[in-house]
Amino acid sequence: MVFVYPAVQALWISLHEWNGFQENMVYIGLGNYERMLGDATVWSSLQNTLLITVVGGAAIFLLVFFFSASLQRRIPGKKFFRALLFFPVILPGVGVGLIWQFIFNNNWGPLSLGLNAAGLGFLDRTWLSPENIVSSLTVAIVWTYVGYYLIIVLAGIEKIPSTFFEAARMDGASEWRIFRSVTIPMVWDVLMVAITLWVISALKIFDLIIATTYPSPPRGSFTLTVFVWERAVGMYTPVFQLGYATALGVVLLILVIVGVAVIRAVSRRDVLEY
Amino acid sequence: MYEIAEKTSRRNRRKVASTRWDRGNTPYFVLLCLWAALTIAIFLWVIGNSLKSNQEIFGNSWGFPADPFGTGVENYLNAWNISNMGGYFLNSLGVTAAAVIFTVGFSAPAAYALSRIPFLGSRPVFYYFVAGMGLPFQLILVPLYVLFVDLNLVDSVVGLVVAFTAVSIPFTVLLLTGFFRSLPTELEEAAAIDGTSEFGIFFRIMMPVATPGLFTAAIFNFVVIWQEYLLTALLITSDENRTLPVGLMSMRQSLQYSSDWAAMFAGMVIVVVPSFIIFVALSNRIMGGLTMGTGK
Amino acid sequence: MKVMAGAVCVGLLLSGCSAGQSSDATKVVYWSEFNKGEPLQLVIQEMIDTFESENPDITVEANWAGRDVLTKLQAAVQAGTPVDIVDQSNDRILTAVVDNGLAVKLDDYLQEPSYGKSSGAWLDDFTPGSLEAFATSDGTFMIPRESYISGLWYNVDMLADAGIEPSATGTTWDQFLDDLDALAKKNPDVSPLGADASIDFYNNWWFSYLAVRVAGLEAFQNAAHDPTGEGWRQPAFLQAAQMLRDLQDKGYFQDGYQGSVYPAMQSQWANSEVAMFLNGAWIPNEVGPQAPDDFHMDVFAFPNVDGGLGNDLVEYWSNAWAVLNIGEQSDAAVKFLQFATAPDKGGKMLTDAGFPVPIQGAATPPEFAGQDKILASYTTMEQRGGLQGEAAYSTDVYNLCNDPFFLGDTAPEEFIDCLATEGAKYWSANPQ
Repeated sequence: MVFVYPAVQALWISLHEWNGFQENMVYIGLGNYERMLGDATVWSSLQNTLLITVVGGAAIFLLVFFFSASLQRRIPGKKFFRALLFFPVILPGVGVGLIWQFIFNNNWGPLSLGLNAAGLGFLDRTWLSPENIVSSLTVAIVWTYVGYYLIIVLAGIEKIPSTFFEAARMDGASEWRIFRSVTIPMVWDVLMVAITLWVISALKIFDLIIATTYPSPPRGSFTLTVFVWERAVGMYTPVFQLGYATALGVVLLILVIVGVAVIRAVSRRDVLEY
Repeated sequence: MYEIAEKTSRRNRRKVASTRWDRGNTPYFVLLCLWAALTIAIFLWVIGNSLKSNQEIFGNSWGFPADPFGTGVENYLNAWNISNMGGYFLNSLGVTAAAVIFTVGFSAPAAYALSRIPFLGSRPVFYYFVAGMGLPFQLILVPLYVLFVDLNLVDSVVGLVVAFTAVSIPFTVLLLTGFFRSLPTELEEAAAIDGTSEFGIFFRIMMPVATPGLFTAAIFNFVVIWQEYLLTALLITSDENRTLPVGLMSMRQSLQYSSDWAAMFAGMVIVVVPSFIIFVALSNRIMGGLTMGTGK
Repeated sequence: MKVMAGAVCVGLLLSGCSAGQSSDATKVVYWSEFNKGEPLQLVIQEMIDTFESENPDITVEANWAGRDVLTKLQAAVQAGTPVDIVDQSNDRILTAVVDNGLAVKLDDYLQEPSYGKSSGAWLDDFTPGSLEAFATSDGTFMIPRESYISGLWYNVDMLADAGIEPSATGTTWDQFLDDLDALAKKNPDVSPLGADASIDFYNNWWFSYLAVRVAGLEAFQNAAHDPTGEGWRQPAFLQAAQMLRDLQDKGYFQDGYQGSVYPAMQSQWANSEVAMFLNGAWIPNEVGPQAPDDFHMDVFAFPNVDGGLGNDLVEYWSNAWAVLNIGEQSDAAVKFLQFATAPDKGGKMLTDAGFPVPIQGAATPPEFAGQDKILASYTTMEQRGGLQGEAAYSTDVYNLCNDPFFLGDTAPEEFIDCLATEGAKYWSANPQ
């Protein structure tokens, strides 16, 4: 209940101009939404948000498939690897973000120093310059959250009766074939849940981005969540546009709803019962 | 029940797998090791820098700390006392513990009702909780803030507990609904025949059986609330009420004047260590909690 | 009799009650931009302790809210929480507090005797011009604390090695270019200039100074406030943009400055990988602790441009206090500020801790000798010619266009075009 009332009120506030210090809001109808159409930052932040969601998601789930295939094999230290992959998930995003900010530091950060020491200096980039920052953030995000989705998918795989794999192996099916024809269909439901969770949280990622780019990410690399924050309470130089910020929040909510709906539509297919 | 099934299936597979090292494993194993080495190196680097002086960090960020005990102790004391990480730590602990207890306390009966007692509108209620999970905080930042101002809950740890509890309930209810569904109904049916009331069934019969699930839900919420930043940054205005993540960010702000990077690294270690300890002790339960709500 | 007794009782109760209230100390609520443990927080805490011991009837309740104190202040305003004093940099106080009518006008208080005195006026405690620098046309709403200029901070030994000994106030742009060239030749491994491009209002420093130098302060301000945006199309601004692009084309900024996250470049400077950079006078306190012991730094003013209309101007700002009208103890709050700026009280504590204050007779910490020299012969202006205090315009027009330009993604012509079009768009949405 604490969240229904504010959510409804948010729709109302998004129709106003308000800086938070004035007592009264000024009603401007759909003015904030009209303003978005002409605001280049809205478009670039939408683009960045979608980039992180789609590219980061693709990377995460490719890694999830790879790691889950690895962990199904008989190799030593499975539990250790699983725990280590998962560990960053439970760390405060602020701490992880600050660590990554230092990793990406070009002068004394381990990434640049390591590349140069390994003779791979040509790979060295200004990791946090505007044209690279979204990619760098995506790397940090993938590293941090891959374990979460891995654990979910692994749990799904563990529930597949082992007789399925045995039967497939006896038929002489290749690893790839088993993966495609047994594993994926059997974990389809769990996979869709994992992807839905990823989309919801990817659209909302905030503290990791804020910390990695502290004191302020360049404007071109804002995501929608960062843009909302910047408008509402300011990065370095506050502008205090609470009405506009809330309208942007409404857009974020719409994105979440659309994202979930799209996944549901795509994922609807016959589920194998077992 | 759930765990037993899991164990059996694992045991079966182990029997099937060959006991010899399969050559095809090597590339998988090497890549896993690389990823692990990367992760470990990152944390070692952070810990190493927390034991160095400021000049060492900038001049010799890769080497071993020159005087790990002298400068190290000093950095940690600076972070703990001067930057008040000690105070933030206690706040984090208190707020998180209280919010977890309330969350699980409210969610358990609701989840039980949703899973067992058929009533009109239980489906919409279920979707209401799903919607609560998807709602971006950014949307409600401003109104929530105004609401908490009206309730006089801004800048108070009580307000934080209220907010965290409210935020955590939807997911916890979903998690526990799935869990209660997985419990057998025979016990309750027997109790109902004996004439035990619904409440009696819940508290005397179900709670003891459900303890492992509730415990898992509690740990999971602990992990999530422990790292929360956005709501806290919004609702807390004074230094003494900050939690660790917000305190860490304020320490990063302070670098503008203090330039104490070494203490900053010490602060990061202080933030990470409790998560690490909890994780080492309870990693299976934490991972179990994440999958409990999502499994079939 | 009974009635009488009752009346006495009530009287006693009332007096008891009011006596109780007056013996309660007056409580001044102070919300600060600092976090616990920061150097200035420690100084202010010392001020509060001393002030309370000298004034047992007043307590100062400090809330160390951090840099986003003004955001937190929104909650206080909405909730009606009394807050008496707030501090932040003067441009932010102006935007959030003064422009929203939340500040108490201090002109009358400034005529009162200063702390612990029975004659004279508080305003005489300040160096001439320092209060005026932060006053609006409606009066004085801010009390400056530490005050800073901006200029080029340089590694003294490195420049001396290349035969350069800049004077604090005498450099011209041509001389500056020669010096950069000499530095680059003498020391190919060192970048003559540095920048942390992660902060947009650091990036706009170069263009702002050059534009003011070439076109003059008035033309600069007029261009920014031109509702058509066309003011930016004067040749002088394009010239300023090209002067900056020239520096970048010559490769004077350090490699990868585009991705340098504050304060990464500053530590490069302290480690002698960068020779100089444009920044504010907090640098001695900000970089000093991490620099090697034998590191020598100094500052010179932004070079003058031959034939320019805005020479001998220097930015000047401060972290400032404002007394809020949402508080309940304005008089006591002012008394605390009088204490905090009294030359022998708070002023001394600040200078002892190494901060430069605009207070009469305050000793200048040695690192700030250059600042004093520049202030002695230059005229002060607000940050970025005043644009810094107009947060929305700065963010949505000025920095929006300047960031890609400073990073080398747009050409000078495109930059000017952006200023003009975005400016027109901004002013049509926000009429003056």
